[in-house]
Amino acid sequence: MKNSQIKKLANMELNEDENYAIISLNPAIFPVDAVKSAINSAMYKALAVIAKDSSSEIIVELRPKGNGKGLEELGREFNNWLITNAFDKLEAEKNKMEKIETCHEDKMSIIEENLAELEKQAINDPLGISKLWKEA
Amino acid sequence: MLKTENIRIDKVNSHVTLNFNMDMYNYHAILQASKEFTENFWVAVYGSRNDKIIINLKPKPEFINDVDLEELGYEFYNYTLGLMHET
Repeated sequence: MKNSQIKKLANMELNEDENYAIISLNPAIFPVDAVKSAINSAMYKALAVIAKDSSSEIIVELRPKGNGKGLEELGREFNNWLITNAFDKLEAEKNKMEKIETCHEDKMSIIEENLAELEKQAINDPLGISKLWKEA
Repeated sequence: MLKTENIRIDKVNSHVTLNFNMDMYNYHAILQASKEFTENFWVAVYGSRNDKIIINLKPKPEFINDVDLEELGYEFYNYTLGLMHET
């Protein structure tokens, strides 16, 4: 059996002989959605497989299609796509939360205004119904 | 390979590796800096979000001869700190 030489660079293992790259990702740093989006971006130039290893890291295997770019460049390009996707998703989530908070604050201020108005009306008592029957 | 405490330079493979202690740095700022650096560099982010995030930077082929890797490392740290200060 032939022993393939594996080159380790950052989070990548490159097997030049068998022409594939393994990229290990921590799901606490990169959510699965961002990994899937990055795979979508890579699909036109590489065949991809996604898996989880025993330490629950996400493992992405990339094989360049045809005579594509070198393995290292493919792996590094994948990492760049991943960062862009993960950051965009993080920002979208942050904006969504801010929107919800603003909406919640707006609703609360409307409720407070209405309550204040009701209290005012109650103090004014235009119908005279707040008096005790003995006083009336 | 030149080695300082937080910046490891690999001149053979033309890349620099940085360690971010997560007690000191913010995940959002690290990811934002990484995204902005992807324009001119290959960036890899790995490690642990609770302990230490590792950033590996390599200039893209068109810039590989123009970049001082040590300066690039410090620039990335500075940029991240700047983003943390803004937020």
